[in-house]
Parts: sequence; structure tokens; C-alpha cells
Amino acid sequence: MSVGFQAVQWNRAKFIYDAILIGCVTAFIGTFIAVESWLHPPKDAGGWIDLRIRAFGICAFLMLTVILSIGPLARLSPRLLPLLYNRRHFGVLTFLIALAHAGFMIEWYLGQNALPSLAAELTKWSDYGKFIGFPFKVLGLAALLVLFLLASTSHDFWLAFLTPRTWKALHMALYAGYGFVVMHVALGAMQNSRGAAIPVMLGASLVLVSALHLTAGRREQRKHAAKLASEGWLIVGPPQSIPDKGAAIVSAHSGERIAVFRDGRQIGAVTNLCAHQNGPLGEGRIIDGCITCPWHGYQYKLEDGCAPAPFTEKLVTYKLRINRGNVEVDPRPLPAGTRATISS
Amino acid sequence: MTRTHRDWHRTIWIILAIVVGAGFVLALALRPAPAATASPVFQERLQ
Repeated sequence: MSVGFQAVQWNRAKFIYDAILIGCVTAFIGTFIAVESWLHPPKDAGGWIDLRIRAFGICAFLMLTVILSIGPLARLSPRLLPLLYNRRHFGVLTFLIALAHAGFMIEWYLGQNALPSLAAELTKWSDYGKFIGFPFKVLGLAALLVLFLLASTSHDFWLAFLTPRTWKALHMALYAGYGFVVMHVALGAMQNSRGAAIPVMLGASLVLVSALHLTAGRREQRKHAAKLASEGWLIVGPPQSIPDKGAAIVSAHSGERIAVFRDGRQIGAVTNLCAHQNGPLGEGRIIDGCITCPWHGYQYKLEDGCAPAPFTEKLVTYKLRINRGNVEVDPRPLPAGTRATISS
Repeated sequence: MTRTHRDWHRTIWIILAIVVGAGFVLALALRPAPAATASPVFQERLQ
């Protein structure tokens, strides 16, 4: 945990992040409604609700696309790491916008006195066997359920309660949620419009998210591949190849990643997984003598991987040696909190 | 991300990308000509 830990985790950066986020969302929805109502003035109250449904729905979809792009973007360029910071608030706001989209839909049915037709639509079981004609609102509801699950467990309490491993696995359901949303739009709004706007939006989002994930994944694989030295140790490179107050990440053949940090002449190796949320420690920096996670600022001492007092988190460390001018790391982990630094 | 998460992530992501991509293309290819009236999102709802 960070030495700057506060019980109430609000700080200036979070306020700025949230203010920009809310500002962008408000501007998008406001602009969409203003432009659409100017181009195609709604004829009645139902038309205005329809406009709000589309504005909030498109906004939620675009937000989901951005959320899924933030991870690979931050890996491709550390300058984009601030986008990752507070991403959970982004997710909660996306759920709220999607919830408003669903709420406006109910309002539309209520306004038309047609709520029974919504129930009939959702319970027409023969339609579930169709592709075109599938009750697409069910897909939207499934996506909303996933977003609710993720938003409601986004607080650090749930992270500690479920453990980072389970929490991270649970939050991968966002990919399924994204799939539900794409098919909700493809089988719903896209079927009722011959225009190009919806297919272009969906296609661009799919291509963008896929391309970013593939690019970041391939680059990471190439970058972290380590050569094998004698006795199964991995070659990291000359000490000077490790950035000062930064790290080189190497991938063991088991697939686990090891972050080898250098602070002046002192070199230490720890797991690449932060104990808080499994963030990529090796992409962080050494600040005040502590390895600092780039995601949420959790800190660990370089020499033994222990969080500074009064915090108790410990990281797995690894043995290091200098051999033929190269730093080498033993991929067999030492017990968490074992002192294992060397001097170059 | 742990190794297990990474493996899951890669597998799930690729399967989902293929399924959703194929679903999107199929939905695009099969979409019918729209009716001329009513609001575009809800025209089928009251039928």
C-alpha cells in the first residue's frame, strides 16, 4: 500500500478525472440531443424520449469502447497511463448512463400505454430461435446486468473481500458485456435503419478494440521474451540497460512475469503483479525508494518487496546475480518478503 | 494480470471477437428494408 494512503481515497487527480469525464459525457449527450432535434425535430413526447434513448445508448456504447481501449493504450504508451487511473469511476458512470438508457425505454412504453407489449416481446419464446428477430432487448438487459455486477463490486472493499485474483477474473466479464451490447445494437437499432451511421460505429469500435488488444499483446510478448542462461536463469541484460528508478520486465518460461528494478547501483526483482489489483508493477517507477504501482500508487520496498510500515502487503521476490556483465534472474520465486537485492 | 488470467483473457477475447464479429457481419448482411413510418428505434415494438 502507498505511504500516502488515505482512508477516504479522494484526491485532486480523482476530482479532475471525474470532472473531465462528467463534462465530456454531458457535452456528448447535450450536443447529440441538440443536433438531432434540430435536424429531425421530434413530433411528440414519445419522439423526445426516443431521442434521449438514442443519446444515452450511443454514449454508453462509446464509453464501453473507450474503457476496453484504455488497458492496451496504456501498455502501448505510458503517457496514457493517467487514463487508467480511476478507470473504475469510468465504469460506474457507464453503468449509470446505460441504466438511464433502459429507464427511458420503460418511460417510452409507459407513455404509449404499451408496457404489456414489452412483456409480450420478451416472453415470445419462438423469437429466441431466430437470428434476425431475436429479442434484442434481452441482450441489452444482460449487458446491463454485467455492468451492474462490475459497478457494484468496483470498490476496494470487494477487491479485498474477493481477493485480487477472483476480482480480476470477475471483471473480465466486461468483455461478455461488450459482446452483448454489440449484438443488442446489431439486432436492434441497426435492423431498423438503412443508414450507415450505426454499422460504421459498431464496426469501427470492434476493429479499434481488437486491433489495440492484438497490437499491445504482440508487442508485450516480443518485449518481455528473455534469453535463457545457465541453470535455468534468465538474462535480463547489462545493469545499465535497466532504466534507473525503473524496471525491465522479463517473462519466465512458465509465463509469469518478473519486474527487475534498478535504483542507482541497487537491483531487485519482484513479481510483476501488484498485491492490490494485479497491476503491472514493472511499468511503475521507484519513488521515495519504493517500487510504486502505476495503477493506484501502491508501494513496496525494493530490497524485500514489503510495503512500508504500517502496511503489510508483501511481494514474491527473485534471486539475482551478475554473470558476464549481465544481470540474471532465477525464475523460481522466493517466499514473499525475502530480501534479495544485489549491487551492480 | 496473472498468467492464468492472461491465458483466459487471450482465449476468451479471441473467441468473443470472432463470435461478435461474425454476428455483427451477419446482422448487417441480413437486415431488412425498414418500414417508412414511426421512430426508427421503436417502429416494431407496437406491432
